[in-house]
Amino acid sequence: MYQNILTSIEGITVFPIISLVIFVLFFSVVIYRVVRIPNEEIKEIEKIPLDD
Amino acid sequence: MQVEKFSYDNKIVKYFAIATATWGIVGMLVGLIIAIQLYLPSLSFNLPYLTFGRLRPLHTNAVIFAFVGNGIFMGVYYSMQRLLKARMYNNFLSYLHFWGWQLIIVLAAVTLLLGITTSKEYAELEWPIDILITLIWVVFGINMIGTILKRREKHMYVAIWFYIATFVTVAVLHIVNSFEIPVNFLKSYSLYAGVQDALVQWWYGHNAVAFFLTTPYLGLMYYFMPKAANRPVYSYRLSIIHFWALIFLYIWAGPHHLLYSALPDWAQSLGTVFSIMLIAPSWGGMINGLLTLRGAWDKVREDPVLKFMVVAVTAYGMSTFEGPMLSLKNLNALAHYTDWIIAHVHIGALGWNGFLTFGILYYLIPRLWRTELYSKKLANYHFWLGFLGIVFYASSMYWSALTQGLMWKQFTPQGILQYPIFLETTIQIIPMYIIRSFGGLLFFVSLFVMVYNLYKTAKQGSFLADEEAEAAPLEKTPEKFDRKKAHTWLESRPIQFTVLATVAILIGGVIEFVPTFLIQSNVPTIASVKPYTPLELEGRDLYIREGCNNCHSQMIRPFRSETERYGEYSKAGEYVYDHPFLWGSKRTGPDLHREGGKYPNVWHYHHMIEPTRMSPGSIMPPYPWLETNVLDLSYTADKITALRRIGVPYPEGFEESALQNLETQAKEIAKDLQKNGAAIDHDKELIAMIAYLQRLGVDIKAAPTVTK
Repeated sequence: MYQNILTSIEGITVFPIISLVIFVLFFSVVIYRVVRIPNEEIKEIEKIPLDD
Repeated sequence: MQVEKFSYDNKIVKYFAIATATWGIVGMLVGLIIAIQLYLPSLSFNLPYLTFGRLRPLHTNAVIFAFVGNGIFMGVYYSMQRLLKARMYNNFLSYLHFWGWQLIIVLAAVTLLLGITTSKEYAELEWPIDILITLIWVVFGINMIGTILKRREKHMYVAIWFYIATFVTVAVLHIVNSFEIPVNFLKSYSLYAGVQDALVQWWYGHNAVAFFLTTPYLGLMYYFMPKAANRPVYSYRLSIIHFWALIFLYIWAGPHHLLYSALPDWAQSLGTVFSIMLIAPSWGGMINGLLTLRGAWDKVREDPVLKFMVVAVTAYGMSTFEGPMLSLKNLNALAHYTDWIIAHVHIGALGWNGFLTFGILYYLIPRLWRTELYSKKLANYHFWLGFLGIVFYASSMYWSALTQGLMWKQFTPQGILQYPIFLETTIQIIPMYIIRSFGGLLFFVSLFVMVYNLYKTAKQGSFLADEEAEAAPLEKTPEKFDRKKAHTWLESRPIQFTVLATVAILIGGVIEFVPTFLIQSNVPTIASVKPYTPLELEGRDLYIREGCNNCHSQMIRPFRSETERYGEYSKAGEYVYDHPFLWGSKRTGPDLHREGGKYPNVWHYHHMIEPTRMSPGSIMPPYPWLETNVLDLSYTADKITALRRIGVPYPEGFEESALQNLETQAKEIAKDLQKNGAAIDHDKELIAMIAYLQRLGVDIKAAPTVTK
């Protein structure tokens, strides 16, 4: 039944391309954000496992 | 600020540690037995419970869910409490989780040996156990998220993210792949059929590797490697990228298990592309792990913990490079169905999961028991025995894979198959099977060296059940969202983080799945393909019970070497009534998709009772009980009804005449057998098995017309 509903979605073959674009965008945002984290903050977090 | 006093629960860690070691021994013992059975099939002692087909799922389930599963929980329960500066959320939930998980393992072992299985790899357990798994997994989830919420450390360290992703994704995978319609308490049919079932199964199967064998262990790596080396992780920034890229990409790669199959091309290509992309985050993680040891490599020589961890992370890097290579179609054409895949997964299971678990055990036991490791020397023996075990195991399997894979494809100058008899190629690799089991034996023995060493360590120390700790409580004032610090903001928001991680894995899943469910439009229906008769259906269920799909594929790829050997290549439309699909993933024996009509009934009769009667040298175990067991017909009508409900076009009311239909067909086969000198009654299981085997792949021969 659900096949019939989904078959009727027009242009469904473009989904893989959309997904690739989503990934590239997502990836770029992650990299951008990560690069901008201040160094002190990183230093603080990466010590968490060592001080218990 | 006022410091709060609390204690870490070490007892639950101890429980899981004992469980992982115990089940490790059980799971690897079964592995060793089936490795030997491949050259000594009589080791099944003519017992249904000990055939390769039933033991192999027991081995994989025991190693994945019992050994590695308990290993995950051991590491998670230890590291999470310390990373979050909080005791586990609820003691009762911790122990409910522990005992529930062990119960699942025991139920799995019993049902799999009894032949109660869905046949879907790493998801063989029947529906009541599936529900139990779901409940216990939720218990684990509540306990984990509860701990995160009452934490005293603002930031969630990267290991915690991997644990969250594991929890969420395994839940999604398990539920989606386990949709099945019950026939009775111990039998169900997959809701999906044929190509669709295959795609869902390998989306699950691949991501079970990703989110059960990989992400939780990466979390453990990010905690225990810095601990063992006593220095922070090489790059925390890299770990953030590693995490997001890995969980986002992994979920797409499932279709690489189905290259050259009847799956539509676009889905296959998608799987390949994302598999190649996966090298980047995987190697990012490996490099991050190894470089954590920068300036501490001299310690690796001394410290067994680091020794195990370095090999584990290296094995991770090797198998995550090999995986994408195997998903390239040209290499896959050779490697698929051969022992290459067995080598590949064992680099992962023995090297990555095994060695990391051992490293963590050597780290934890002395600390939990407040003492030093009993013997460094024994730990080194363990290391080298285990390492050599892996080397023997993997090298023999690569050799075997290349030998057999090339023999399957070898043509003479005249253009006919050089080795048309499948068994010839099997006999050629028997020496490799012997070497493999030797490698397995070394690894197995090395486990006992570890257990002895750890036992002695515990004996000389005193266990600390509740470890005192103190930390300041978390400030309640919410930090304002700062765009510049978006990720560190996110790290202190577990709920938002979980939601985002779920979205990341769902995007891949949904986009792959929507067209998957669309598959009907991609599957040309074949008019001559009809549902199985009641007798054939019962035979098919016997095929599932005996685990035939563990050694025989039912998927002929479109290569000349395969069509020459087996016949016309497999079409997606031929599987539309297959709940579940039975394509298999390994050819220890030949493909069976065109088995129907290839040999007379009496050939199958003799071959099932004693394979070597018809194929001298065969390594297939005998199935003599099929000849004496009376076929159970009590659920035949229910099976027909259940299948009709999920779309198999049996006419209304057919279930009432099903038994009559079955008897007529059974009598015909029995008569034919008797005529050829095989005295057998028509009500025996073997008759149904023969009926099913003779039906395989024949529909398409009746009329080759294909309608879109």
